[in-house]
Amino acid sequence: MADLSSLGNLRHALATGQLTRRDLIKRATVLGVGATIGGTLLAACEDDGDDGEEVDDTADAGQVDLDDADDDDDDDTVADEPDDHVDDEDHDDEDPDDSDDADDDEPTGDRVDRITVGIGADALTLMPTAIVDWTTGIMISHIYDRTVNYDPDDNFAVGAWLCTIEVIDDLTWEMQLVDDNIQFHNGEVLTAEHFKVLLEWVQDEANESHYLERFQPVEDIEVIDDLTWRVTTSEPFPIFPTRLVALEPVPLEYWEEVGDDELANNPVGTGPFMFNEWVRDERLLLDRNPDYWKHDVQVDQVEFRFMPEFSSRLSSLLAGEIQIVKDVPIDALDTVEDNDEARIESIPSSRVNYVALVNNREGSVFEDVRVRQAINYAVDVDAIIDGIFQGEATKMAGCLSEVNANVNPDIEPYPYDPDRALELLEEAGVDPNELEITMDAPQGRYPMDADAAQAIAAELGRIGITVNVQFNEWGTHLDKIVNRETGDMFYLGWGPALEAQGTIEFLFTGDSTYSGYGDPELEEMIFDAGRTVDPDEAQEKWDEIQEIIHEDAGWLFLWQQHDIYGVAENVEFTPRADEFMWMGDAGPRNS
Amino acid sequence: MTAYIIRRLIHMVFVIFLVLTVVFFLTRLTGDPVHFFVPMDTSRANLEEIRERYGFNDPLWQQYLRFMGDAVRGDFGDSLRQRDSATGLVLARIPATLQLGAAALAVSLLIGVPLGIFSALNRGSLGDKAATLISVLGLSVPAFLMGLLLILFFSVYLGWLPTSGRGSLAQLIMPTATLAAFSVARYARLSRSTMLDVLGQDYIRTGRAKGLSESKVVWVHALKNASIPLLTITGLQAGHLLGGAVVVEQIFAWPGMGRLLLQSLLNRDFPVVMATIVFVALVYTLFSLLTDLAYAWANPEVRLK
Amino acid sequence: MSTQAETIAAAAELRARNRAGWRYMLRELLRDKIVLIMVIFLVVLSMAAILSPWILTGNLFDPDYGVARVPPFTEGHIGGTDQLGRDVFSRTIYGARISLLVGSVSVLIAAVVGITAGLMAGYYGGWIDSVIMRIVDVHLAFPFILLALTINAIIGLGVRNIIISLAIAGWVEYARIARGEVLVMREREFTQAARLMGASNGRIIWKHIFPNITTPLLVTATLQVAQFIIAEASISFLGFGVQPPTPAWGSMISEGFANIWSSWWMIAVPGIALALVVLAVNLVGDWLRDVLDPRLRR
Repeated sequence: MADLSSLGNLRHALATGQLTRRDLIKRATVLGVGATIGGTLLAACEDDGDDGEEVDDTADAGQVDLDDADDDDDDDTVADEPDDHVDDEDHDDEDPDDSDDADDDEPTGDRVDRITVGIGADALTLMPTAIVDWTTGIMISHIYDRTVNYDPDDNFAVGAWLCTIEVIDDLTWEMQLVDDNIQFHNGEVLTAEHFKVLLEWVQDEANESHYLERFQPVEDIEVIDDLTWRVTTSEPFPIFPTRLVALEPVPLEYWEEVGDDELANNPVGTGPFMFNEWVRDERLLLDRNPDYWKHDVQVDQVEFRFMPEFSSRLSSLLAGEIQIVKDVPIDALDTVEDNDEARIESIPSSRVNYVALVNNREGSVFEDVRVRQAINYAVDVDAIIDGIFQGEATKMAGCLSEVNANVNPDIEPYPYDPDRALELLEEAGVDPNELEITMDAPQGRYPMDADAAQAIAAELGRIGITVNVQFNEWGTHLDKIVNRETGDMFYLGWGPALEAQGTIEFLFTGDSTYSGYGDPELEEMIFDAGRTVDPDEAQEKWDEIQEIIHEDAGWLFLWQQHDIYGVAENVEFTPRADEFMWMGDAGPRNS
Repeated sequence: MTAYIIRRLIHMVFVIFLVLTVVFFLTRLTGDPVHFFVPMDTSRANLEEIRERYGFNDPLWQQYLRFMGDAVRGDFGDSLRQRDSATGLVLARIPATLQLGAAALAVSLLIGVPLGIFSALNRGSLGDKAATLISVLGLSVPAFLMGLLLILFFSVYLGWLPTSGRGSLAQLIMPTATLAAFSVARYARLSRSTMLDVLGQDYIRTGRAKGLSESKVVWVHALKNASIPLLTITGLQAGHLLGGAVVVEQIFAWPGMGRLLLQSLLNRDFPVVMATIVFVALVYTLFSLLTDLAYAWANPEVRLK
Repeated sequence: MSTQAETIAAAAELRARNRAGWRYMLRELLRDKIVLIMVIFLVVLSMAAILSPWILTGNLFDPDYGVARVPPFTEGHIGGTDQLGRDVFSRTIYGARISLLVGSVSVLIAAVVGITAGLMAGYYGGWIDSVIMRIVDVHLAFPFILLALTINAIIGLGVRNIIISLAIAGWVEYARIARGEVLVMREREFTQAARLMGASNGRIIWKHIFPNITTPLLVTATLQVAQFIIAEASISFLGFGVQPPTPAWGSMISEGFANIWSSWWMIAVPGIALALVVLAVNLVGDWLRDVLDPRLRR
């Protein structure tokens, strides 16, 4: 595996690299015409050649940024005059690998030549299973494959990806590779050994992997045969499958040969895209893996472009320079919808927003459950969702969102009932007009957070309660929560939260880092449920816990965020509730 | 001369040492860095363990000595968030920032100085007022707003320039303009007032009286003398441009040091903050040394001492 | 060597010039129409800002999403409403109060600290000078905006803290200027004369040196007010600064920035106010420099 990047480069060149934008459009036009004449030819070249005409659009939106010089009127005229362009193509084309071109060229008929994703931050590393960070994880998962993954067709329960997963007994899990010939981009074949070595690497404290704690109960990893491996845990570890999502095997021979740093800088995975180039704070460029084991990849190149400022990202989308942005502000929904080249794709995310009502601190007004309930009755969450989010948020009933695998669907949200709130306060002997509460809130961390916090304060103001909102810089906010120095209310978001334990054990036990709630009895129940492997039995326990939390009003339950994407019209992209922004099944879109 | 430079270099090292000391304590005051480089579901016990392992629990002076011990060898440690050496991360950003800074400096000199001279020569005229107004307008709009307006107009509306990123010349235009807007005004105003100052002095009157051509008076004698304050401010501009670069790099997704510094400051990635600041201090002190040397060159009466 | 009489005469002349200055300035002001307009604008705005709690009728703080994002000149909202249904024009006028307060108080603190340091450094020289100038050097090596940001991160958000942050980040400019001027003045005859006549150091600094170096300091201060108002905006944009719902112009603009796609007026109204004030302050500052610098007199 001498020079991976050059291998990447080579493939890149074969696929698109030697073509200028104009060439591409011309070729695309041939294909467009060609497809109508002889679709059979196309179908023969690559398996799913359903619509060759798509190319016109894709080529157009793809690389506006690359060669401005080519952005002349030629483009339009050429598209209308197929004769002319055939002529041109011969002149312009200086690619010696003409035959290769032809091979690779025609399948682009049903592919997008490039999707550029505008993303707020750079990856922190490209070494898998090392750092917990959304951006980092997304980029790595395009190069590598996850061991298992959340399945959108099964309400985001963990399902098979590289491996299937099976419970042997309370302490033993068995994983089986789904295919005996999954190859890394350099040809190395993936085996059970790969998983064992990486997991052991994670467990080695010296490597400082963030996942060390997450795999803590794992005691022993055993390779049964080339395709099968087993994990034994020291205690029942029901969320083990969730943890496995982040385990993304790396090629052992290559790793051994080049070492940690080089592996991180020149990653070689089994994923749908192959590493091409990574310029820190600028972009990550990936090329299509033509031999992806799972399915045919319909995007020739994926570029992640790091753009910290959301207005710049949105401008780039509107200018046609990039094809996908996440977190379109509510304010810009109409702008994007009105744009001919872009559309909105929105999905309720598994990330939840809430206001903790601190019940376990001396002197907190929320020591009394009636006051906590009163807050829930007094805030008109629907009005805030309509007024501030323009409907782009989903009200939560309890502490888990509706896409959480363990959600108790029977829980009904607190209705908006200010009179009931006043009654409860009276019962508790609290005069709302005397009540003054400080609420700590972040600013710019969650969608519309500053506005929502002010709105909540105003809602409570209507029944006489004075809420002073203290906005913090993000770091200060975390410090305050960890050190228990917030006001009696604090605003926080949590996610992706796809199963119960990760949310409830962490946010509703007294000693947890970001918790504002503690109740010894409930804590016992939570720990017990978290050690129950049998899914049905566990679910029963989680259902009960959720009821208690709801009744006990540990939070002011707010909403699930919506992940709002701006997507170019000619790109097919499906957002997912688990925040897994995945170009592996993106492709051209017929408009 | 050589002795002077050596003395200045020693002074430079001293200043950088002080900068490091101050920044070390300032950053530690911002708070606990640990939450920023571990997942949110890390238990409190583990947080404590990590603090212990990284030495954040040690007395501050011990941390300081340890840091300084490494720093003198040029080792600022690894980034807390990224698995990379802080120095490496900073070095990788330098070209982008220098390119942007140099472009902005050149543009502001080329526009600001002539504008100021024009104003001075036509003092009180409509042209003077217009020139002042134009240059001051650059000061009146916050850089982030100007950046966005430029993007909306030239990229989204007209489609002439790429919105952001680095690579082509076209991508350099808007960040440079935004960054330069501020310094153009500074240069224009300074050159206006120094030119007025110089033009009022005896030797210029003498020159005129002796029948030297007006252009020679202005461009040779006056400008040479007016150049000293301009040099001073150029030294200071190095720092200002870097400060401005923070905002501009953010808006235009320019992969430079300003962005790195801002991010590492917000994320409490202390090693990266320190490494960046050292570089900034180095540039600043070097610039002021060069400025002083240029003084001597522009005006032999100035004695270096 | 000059005689004592000569130096006393020189000092007297300097003082006389300052006194005559006021009348001269007024004459100059009446002659320069643009600057006159700017001064009137600033005065009117300051009055409005001071009186704003009593004269404003629009909704300043309370969210009322029923009337959110109303465009200008509708339903009695001259400047439209923001994303929470608050009156943008009223908030802008009220914001003048905050922004002018932030601009002027932070400059005042910075100036007092900086001038004192500069006077001391310049007058006494020696180790005091060394210490102060080293601090200045260190300070200058750290970009202004980032220093203000760091200090803000340490001491927290809010109007008071942004004032402190800006003052700490901005005082060095005065120190440098004051020191430079003092170095010149210290050698002047009237200073030496005063010293010979047994005046105390404090008296010499305060009575003889300070009055003669005010011009560049005044000009710097004027321009810095503008710079600080802009800086407040940038700091808000970067996520620090004044906290909602307090309407400083900077935080309003940065809030408007997040709403620019649907509600341009949220950025336009405070943005224009900000630009006008900065423009006015700068033009007045330039004019002050022209008028006060004797060499530039016509």
